[in-house]
Amino acid sequence: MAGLESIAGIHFLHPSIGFLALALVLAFLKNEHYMAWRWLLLAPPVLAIVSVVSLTFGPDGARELASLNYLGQTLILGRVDALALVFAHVFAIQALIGFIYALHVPDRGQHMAACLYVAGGFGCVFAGDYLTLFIFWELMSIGSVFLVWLRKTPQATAAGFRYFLFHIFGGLFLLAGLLLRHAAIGTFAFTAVAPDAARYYDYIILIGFLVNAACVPLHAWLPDAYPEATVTGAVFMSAFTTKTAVYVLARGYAGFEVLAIGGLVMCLYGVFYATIENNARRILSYHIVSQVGYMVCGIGIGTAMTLDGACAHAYAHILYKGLLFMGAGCLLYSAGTAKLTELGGLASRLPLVMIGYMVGAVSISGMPLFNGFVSKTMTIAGAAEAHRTWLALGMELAAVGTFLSVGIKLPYFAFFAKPKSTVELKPIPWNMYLGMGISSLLCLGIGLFPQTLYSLLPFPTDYAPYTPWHVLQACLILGFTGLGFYLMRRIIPPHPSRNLDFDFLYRLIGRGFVKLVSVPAAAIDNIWTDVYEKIGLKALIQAGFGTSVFDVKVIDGVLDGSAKGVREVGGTTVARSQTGRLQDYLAAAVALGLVIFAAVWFVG
Amino acid sequence: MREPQSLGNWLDRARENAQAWKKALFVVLAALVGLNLFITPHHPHFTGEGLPGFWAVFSLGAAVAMVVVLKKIVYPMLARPEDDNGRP
Repeated sequence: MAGLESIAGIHFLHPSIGFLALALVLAFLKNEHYMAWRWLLLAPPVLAIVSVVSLTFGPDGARELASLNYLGQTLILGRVDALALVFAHVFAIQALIGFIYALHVPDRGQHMAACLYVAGGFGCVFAGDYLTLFIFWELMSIGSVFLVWLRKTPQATAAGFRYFLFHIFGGLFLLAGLLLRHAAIGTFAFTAVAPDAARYYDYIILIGFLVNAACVPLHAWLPDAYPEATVTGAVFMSAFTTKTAVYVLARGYAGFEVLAIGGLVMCLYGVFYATIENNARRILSYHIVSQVGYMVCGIGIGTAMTLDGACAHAYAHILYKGLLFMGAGCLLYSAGTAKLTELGGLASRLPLVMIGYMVGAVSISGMPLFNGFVSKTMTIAGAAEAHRTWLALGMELAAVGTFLSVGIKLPYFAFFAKPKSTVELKPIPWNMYLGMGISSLLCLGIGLFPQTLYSLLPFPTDYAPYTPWHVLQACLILGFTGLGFYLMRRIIPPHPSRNLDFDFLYRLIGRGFVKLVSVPAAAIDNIWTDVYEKIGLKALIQAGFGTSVFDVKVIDGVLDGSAKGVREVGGTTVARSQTGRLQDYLAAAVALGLVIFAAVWFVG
Repeated sequence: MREPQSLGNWLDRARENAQAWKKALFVVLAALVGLNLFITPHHPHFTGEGLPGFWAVFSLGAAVAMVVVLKKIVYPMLARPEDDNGRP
């Protein structure tokens, strides 16, 4: 059976299997009994951690495990090497943290969506060929869009549709690219492309990857949809989509200059928007764009040190960004809003949430002792050592903006700024605190013992983060950014608004497209109605008379029996399944697709 | 789960001492610049990085410029209603 095997002493249990199995089991459980079944949620992440950690101790080098035949192609589900492992490692840990944080949610739909989404992430990381990658890539899109829709607000529904349309758009680029590539070179193998040997199909695939990496200007789906996701869904989403994209870029497109420049633009664009946004989760979303920018830039520079830096930063980022989304999620859950203008004065009422958030905030800002410091400085130092001074300076500028907006502005206006808050707070369940606690400890632990992270990196590194100069430089940057905030405290307070971004352009194009189709369609429809009334109708009445005789005499006799049967047995079910809601049809399609895929997986 | 009240009370008291915290910040900043006189990069990546206080000026200047440009110039051009759902 593919995915579950033992080759030369290496036991490989594909981490996706547990999550897919749990999604299937959840379909048969009832929401009312969630207090009993919720413990099942922890099983797949624990299995994934065991699976990934046991792989770490295998012999070095790449291995291809778990291949199966599908549609006449060989799908490689288990390409295992150092690059895949560093991502799989943090995915497994974050999946466990995410499910602990979501343990109180009584909605099995949300958990099923999270399971499919995480399974998709693992599938992409271990995919050895583009076809496998595409299948899991799309599974991620579908799982994640339900994490938005299941918030069940009008904003979430609308943002979810925009999110999904944009990911379909990106997915089609990937599909078109991989098919054209197969036509040209005859293989689906997912291997690195040398920048000077890249052909048009490689660039088409790259566009598909850049959509998921939220590369400016293809990024607007992210700050549009993530703030509308469920409290717990956003924690998952902050970890997997963009980091899977970072992984595939590191795997296939290292050294592409366009990524170095694009990454720096992302770094700065994200912090600029974060400085002027009001919704805490939207500020954090813009910061994903910014932080992923560091990784994309590192991949674009393409030296061993910057690639290591990108991987290390992805690892650290997943942990601290999850923590930040958990903190903002606690505010939304407890106070009922994530808008900074409506929060404030909460520090003494939610001190643990504040401390957890601040650990994430100083980590993302690159404060010594925390994990952002050991990963961010590696990328920047790598850029400087590759003589890309402007890129390094741009990333330092983004670091200033990061501390300004996520490290000071957000917590200041959420937890301080106003006198002690008197709003009614909903008690926060213990598991949400536990999720934040584990993340906080990991952020601190990796910051204190960077070798635990560096030992996982794909290239050997002798980078030492804790030199007197590195520490002093980081302290100077953070300290004087703080002074800047203090001097600008009258100008920086947030306003109740959100800002125009590229999503406006997407909507304009979308509306234009609808007009383009609907106006000619309406015109043709009008003409057709006229023609039909004048000519077609008479002929049809004559023909109808003839067929009605045949119908009454022959067909009715045969059909009456079966129609009665259908009405009694399947009619109600069929009628109920035709809800007319696109979300339901999408869920049905993915369920059917998964059943087929599972059949092939286990039989093949 | 209930949050520990003693920690909350400590934070309340800390807020009352805002002036002391402000002084502490200035002392720390001065100390950092002081250290920068003695600790400098071994291999400056560009001219200027080796000068004491470079990163202090860079960060302060960048933070102030970012806030002024973004909040005073860019923000008024981009702002729209918060719960705008994109409907025409």
